[in-house]
Amino acid sequence: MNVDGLARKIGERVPDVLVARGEVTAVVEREQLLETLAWLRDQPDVALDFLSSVTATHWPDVDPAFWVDYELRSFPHKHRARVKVGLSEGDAHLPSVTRLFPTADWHERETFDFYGIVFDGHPDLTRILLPDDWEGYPLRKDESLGGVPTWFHGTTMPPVDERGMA
Amino acid sequence: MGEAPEMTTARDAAGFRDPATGELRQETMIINMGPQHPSTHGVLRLVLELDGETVIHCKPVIGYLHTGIEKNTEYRTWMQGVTYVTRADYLSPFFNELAYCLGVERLLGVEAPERATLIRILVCELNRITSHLVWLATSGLELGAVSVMLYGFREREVIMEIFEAITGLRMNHAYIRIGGVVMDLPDEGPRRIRSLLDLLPGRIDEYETLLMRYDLAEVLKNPLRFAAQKAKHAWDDPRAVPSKTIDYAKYDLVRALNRLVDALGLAESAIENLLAQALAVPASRFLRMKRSVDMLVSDSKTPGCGVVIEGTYQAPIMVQWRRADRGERQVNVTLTRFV
Repeated sequence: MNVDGLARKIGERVPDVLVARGEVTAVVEREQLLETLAWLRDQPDVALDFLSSVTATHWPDVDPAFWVDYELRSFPHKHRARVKVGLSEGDAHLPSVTRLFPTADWHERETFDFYGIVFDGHPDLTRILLPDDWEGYPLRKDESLGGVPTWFHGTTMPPVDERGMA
Repeated sequence: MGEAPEMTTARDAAGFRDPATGELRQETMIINMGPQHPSTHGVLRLVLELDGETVIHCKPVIGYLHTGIEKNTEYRTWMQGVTYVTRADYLSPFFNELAYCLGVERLLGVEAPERATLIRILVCELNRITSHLVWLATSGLELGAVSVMLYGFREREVIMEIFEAITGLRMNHAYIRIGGVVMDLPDEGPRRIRSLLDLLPGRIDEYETLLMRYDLAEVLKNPLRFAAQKAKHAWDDPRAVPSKTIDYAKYDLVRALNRLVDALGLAESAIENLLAQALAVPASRFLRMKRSVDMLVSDSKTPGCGVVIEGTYQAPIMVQWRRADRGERQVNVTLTRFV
């Protein structure tokens, strides 16, 4: 199935489907996420049966401030699609898809680790790449690069854009 | 003794009793393996729950290698991003560069020229070989096949030199750029790549031989049993040549030497000395064997030294001879494939 055909097919179920730069993106509400993903996975002529990535983007001054992306891939049909869910700043939580796609386990932990998005029902939602006692969510756009106290000798490293060019 | 009455204790409630069988479980132990453990390469920690020596639960902790490349690139221009992503995986830098550049090109709506695309494919495919060689080499190492590690890295080095000729660097190339590649192939590039392609198929045969010398999978099913079988064979007759070696070798110098020395009843003799000198010169002049023998033979008067190690290499040219200690005969021969 080509991109437009796939978009049409997904459009039968999800009203909001975009095609941009040859990529299909379905935008859903948080409440429809699980059933949409299950439908995309189980529908034989869509068969998006592999969740290759879960990630997010942060847009600090607009609403929704977070877009959580589910990158899907179909092994039988060799096409791809993306499902996006928008979340507002103070309400960044959505259901975990680990029941549908077990591989989402670590992806969701990473998204939680870096963006602070909470996946309800996740079996073990802990930090995965940062230290357990890390404060903040570094890939949010309002977190600066560097400028955090180092663990050694009580020194600090200034943010990268404030360092002098020696 | 009558049956013990059914009782529920605090220990049962805490999960010490197996809910399926009702058997009392022993206490388990939590062991932290890594990240400093050598086999975890310094970047992986495994939190293991052990019941005796059985791992019943394992939780991998992977956060020892993240360098915040995404955050760094937020503070850089799009062109500078290539410098970061090439460092994301030092085994396949070109693929990371390519994925990043294709992404940016798609955002821009541009396409690289055909020649650049072909060069990209070329370096990526070479990179695939180096990356897989590291996989093969280190997997061999971790299974105990140390030779495979050395050979894998040898061929990788050849390709790394080609990378250096093309990009100026062995890794961290930043060669693929948005819209194409940073510079054209050097004049010598195609010639070197062609000679590499002549070299590789034979080398891949070598790896296969090294790894299939014994059926490694079969050995690994029960390594102790394999070792015991081999040792028994050796101890029964320290001069025994394993049957597999006999099949492979056209004639077996070591066995001939042993027979000769046995027949003459001399543990340390002029014949040995003579053979030692003969073996010390390059193998190709004296020995025409398709397969190899690697043996350590000593007689039973010196227990603890006598073992027979055998092999059927197809590769390296190396003939070693060590003069035996008193009362001991020792031959260590490794011959090569002479095509």
